[in-house]
Amino acid sequence: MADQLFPVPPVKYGSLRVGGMTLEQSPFAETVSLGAFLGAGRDELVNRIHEMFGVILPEHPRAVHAADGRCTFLWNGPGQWLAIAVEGLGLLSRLREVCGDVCALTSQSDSRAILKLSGPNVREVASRLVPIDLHPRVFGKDHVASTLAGHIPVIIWQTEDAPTYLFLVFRSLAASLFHDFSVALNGLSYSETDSCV
Amino acid sequence: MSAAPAQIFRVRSGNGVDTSQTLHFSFDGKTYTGHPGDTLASALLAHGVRLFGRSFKYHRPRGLLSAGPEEPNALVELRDGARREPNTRVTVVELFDGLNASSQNRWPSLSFDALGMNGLFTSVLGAGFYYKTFMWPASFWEKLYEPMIRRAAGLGRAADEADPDLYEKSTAFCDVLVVGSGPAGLAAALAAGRSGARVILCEQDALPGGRLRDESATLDGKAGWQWAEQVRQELAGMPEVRVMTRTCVFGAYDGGTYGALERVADHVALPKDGQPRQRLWRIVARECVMATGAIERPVVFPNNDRPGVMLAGAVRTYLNRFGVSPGRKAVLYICNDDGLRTALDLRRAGVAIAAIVDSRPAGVGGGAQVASQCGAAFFPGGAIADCYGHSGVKAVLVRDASGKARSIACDLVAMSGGWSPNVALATHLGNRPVWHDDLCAFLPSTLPPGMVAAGAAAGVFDTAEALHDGAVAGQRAAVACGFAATLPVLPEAEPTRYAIRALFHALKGVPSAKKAKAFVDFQNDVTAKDVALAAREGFVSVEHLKRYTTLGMATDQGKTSNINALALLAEITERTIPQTGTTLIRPPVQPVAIEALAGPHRGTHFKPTRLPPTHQWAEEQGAVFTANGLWMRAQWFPRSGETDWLETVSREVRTVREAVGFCDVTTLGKIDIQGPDAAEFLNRIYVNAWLKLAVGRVRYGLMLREDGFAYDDGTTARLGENHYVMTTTTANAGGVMAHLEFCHQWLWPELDVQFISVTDEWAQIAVAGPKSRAVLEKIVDASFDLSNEAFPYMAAAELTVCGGVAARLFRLSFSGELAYELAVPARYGDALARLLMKVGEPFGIAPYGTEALGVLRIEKGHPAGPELNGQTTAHDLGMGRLLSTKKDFIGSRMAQRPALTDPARPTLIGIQPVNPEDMLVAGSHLLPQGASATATSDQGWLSSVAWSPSVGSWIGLGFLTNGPARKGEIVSVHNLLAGTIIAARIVDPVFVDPKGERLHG
Repeated sequence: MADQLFPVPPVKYGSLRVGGMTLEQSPFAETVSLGAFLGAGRDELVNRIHEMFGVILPEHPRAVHAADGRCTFLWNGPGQWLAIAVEGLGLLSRLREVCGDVCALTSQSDSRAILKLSGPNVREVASRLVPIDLHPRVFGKDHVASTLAGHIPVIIWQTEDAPTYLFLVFRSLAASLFHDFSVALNGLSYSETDSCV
Repeated sequence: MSAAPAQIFRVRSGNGVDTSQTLHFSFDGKTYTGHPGDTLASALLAHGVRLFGRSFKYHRPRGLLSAGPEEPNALVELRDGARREPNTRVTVVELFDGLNASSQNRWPSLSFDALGMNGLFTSVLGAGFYYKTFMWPASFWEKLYEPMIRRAAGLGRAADEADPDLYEKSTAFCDVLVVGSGPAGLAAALAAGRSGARVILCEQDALPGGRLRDESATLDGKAGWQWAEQVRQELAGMPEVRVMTRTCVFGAYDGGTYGALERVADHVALPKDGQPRQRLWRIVARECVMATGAIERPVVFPNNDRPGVMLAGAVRTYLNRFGVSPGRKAVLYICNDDGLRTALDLRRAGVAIAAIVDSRPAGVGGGAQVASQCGAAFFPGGAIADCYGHSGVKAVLVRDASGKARSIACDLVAMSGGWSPNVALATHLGNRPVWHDDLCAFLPSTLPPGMVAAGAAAGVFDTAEALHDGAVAGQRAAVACGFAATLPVLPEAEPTRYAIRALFHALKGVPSAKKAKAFVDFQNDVTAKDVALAAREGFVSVEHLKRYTTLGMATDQGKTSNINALALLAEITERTIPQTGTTLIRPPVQPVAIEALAGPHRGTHFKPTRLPPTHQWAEEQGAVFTANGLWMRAQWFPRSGETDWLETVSREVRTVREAVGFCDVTTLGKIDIQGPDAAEFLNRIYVNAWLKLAVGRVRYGLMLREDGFAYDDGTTARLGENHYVMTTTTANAGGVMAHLEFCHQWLWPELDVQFISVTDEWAQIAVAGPKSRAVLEKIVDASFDLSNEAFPYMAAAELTVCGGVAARLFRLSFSGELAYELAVPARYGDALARLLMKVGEPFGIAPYGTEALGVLRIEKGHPAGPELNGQTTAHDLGMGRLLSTKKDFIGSRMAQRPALTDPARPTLIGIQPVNPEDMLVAGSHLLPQGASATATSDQGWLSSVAWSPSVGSWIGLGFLTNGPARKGEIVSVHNLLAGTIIAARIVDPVFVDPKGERLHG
């Protein structure tokens, strides 16, 4: 038998630190999309996820965490969610058992890379690229949005109150997004405007 | 360089200038001094410089008209080299140490300009001159007339090098956007800010305060600018308020979106490392208070463009803010009491007032009193009939109420035709302003949703009233956003009186060419007689006037000229101003550099790049890359010793035909389709039948657009009972996804189906060639049977590779050889390429790029992008028989239109030149042999061509009328660009293995 295959991350560079802020590529995660089938499928899906993970699938752009903290569900459109878990939990097969008959399950683990932006002033850095309102009155912890970062489609997910953002980006575009954020980060230290966005 | 001359016109300390520090700068090679807070205009004026530039058309000497962004005359080239910036208004350039500027549109020098003679040919160069003169012969236009006119009439020169600076874009949101920080804007920001609302206050100037810095009037007994500073500090302490200076809101757009340009580092010699020069803001505001102030109008009188003729309000700005007097002896020409302030301010600064010419009749306004205070001669009902002094005012001819004329010596004319509210933002969305006779001004009528005008922008010129108006606007805006806002306590302002009587020009009768030039539009050199000429020739619509005379079309967009022109046109055509109309103002309010609009998206980062999973590996291999949409794909993999690309590509093709090659095909769109109605969904999307495809099988599918033309093609595999995976072309991947979404969401929401893109999920690699099975046997886990019987052509399977890695295998062939497409999770794509190289080595494996991929598919007669070009039908592609007659599908009805079913339509054929070495060129036309090269003889075209190492000849695919019936015929291939005609034979489009035996081997 042939050699083992080894994984390669989509962005060559490890991470970037500018002015106390960090841009880094998150480790591989297991991601599965859930698309509810019509009719009773949707309610059944919500029920079974609730039973198994102790969480209600959100009807709005939010992230909710399974009771055991090992899996998160992100709203991804009407009747559509992304389940994200650390590697090695067999998320896809577990979901197949729980709800494979009432929704479409598709592995998205390698479809999207996750870039993490953390540190002071990341709200301002993000606003260089993301055209949505990230003010705490509007966008807080566990809010998500499908939007654009510059020209690149992303799902943005705020994971902490002191904003830390995860950007879920198509793997093939991850290097471009990493570049665009590195440019936005480098410009920031010279911002002369006040800190609120 | 000579020693810096003294600032002899700096008569006092200005409220915006720090005279404790000295800056050095140069203009036209001469060194001058100035101070922080100066503009280039005020610093040069302090030295007595009056000549700033030459006019656009007549090359007349020009000085400063204004002190703000509306400046039409004083444009320079700022900086040099790659940072040279033409047409820069000296009135908005903040002085910095080492600043370097040059005058423009003059030759050989500013004081002596050879083309100044253009003024002598006035009667020739009037409105429409170019249209009338340079009409024929047509061929002269491009080669002679246009370059000549451009050389004579140009403004500054752009830099030749790429802009070395960085530009940023950013988005900001707020409850209340306040545009302008004059009395109204500051009061509005205060009222809204104190309520806790999110407020953004934008000020295009470096300092807040607006006219509070320009006037000597007080607030609460203190200088007005001190109150502005105090408010700025209070606003800066509010966590939800952002004060943005040097930021011009240049446009209003739909949905409460505003464009703003922040000049981050324009006021310093060089941006700091990493600092952007400018930042483009998209501001989304729920409410907007437009407190943009007003722009003073000049008066149209003969020779009103002499350096030294300035707006009265600008004179006060130079005096009060910069401490600079624009002259020693002034004449005022006014029609309102606001202009009289200039006389009082000048007098206080020790400048003599020779005369006050007031167009209002005696007894109207406070002119007589101010004149006696200043010791000036007073001319009620008077006019300035002419102005003397070639390169600077020396005297004016004043005509009194009785018509008697008298010359008065002076070096400064301060004029005020009244103030025009700056309503630009209110009109960007199509709302026309309305003329108010009492104020002689256009005011906003209906406003865009969420916008309110306040202060001078709303025609409220009195300071106390403007403060109140702004405060109310700010309070209401905050309340509209759900905040409990109250009116702030406002400072006490001195009462003022405006008392305007309309004054647009000082001309008697309809202007004609016989009289001296009286300028309406300074920047585009449009005179009163040009307006009269346009009217005489029938251009009586204001839109026509604008286009015929170019009035208002310069970089200042007619800020100081549009209303005077309109008034003049109204008078000449004996209509009122409202009857004559107004042109709408378009964004941007001030010029915006193209770099700012591009932001960081420049050069190779103009658009994002998509990298396939094997990219890093291909780079290591020394691959040559090509852009394929956003994707970067390996085009070919050169080896040492190969001398040109054709040699490399031919070697790669032969490797596939004779051994085994592999190619990253991840870029093809991949869509995961699941649901009980998935088969039915596919059946309606594709032209061919899908209900009976077995699990574990793949089928080719063609989809049409609604209009019946071919849209996209690809293969779709059935992986499970209700589970399919579709592939699309690389180019149409996004479009097909949107097409599926549309069909599902709008056409057939009742179909129970879900889909999601898996293009990026799988690294998909085509392994092709007679030895491909042998290579895959080394990779696919042993439990899987790869034999032809177990896994035949068009089979698909989910399986494992390399000891348990989940993978998908499809027996597909684009090359016509025994071939597979192996998909592994994208993270393993790089490793898979390396592994294929290793295990394939004994079989002579080589990677191939998109070029060889193209040659292979042309040899096999597979249509691709050049054939699926949006203009071809299934029939044209030789796939007419695919169209199912037993079902309905997208495009089925429209595909039956007579023009689309005409059997004579050009149809896919193969082409082979009679002489194999004759190079075919895509785009060439196919004509019968001997036919003349005319459109009527045209029978088709070549869409794809290649040198085929397998055939040993150039080959091509193309479309030919009645093509399939003409096999064997020799046609002429016309390459009209190269002027070549070659003879070629019509052949079957499948050049290699026409029976398809290799596919099934």
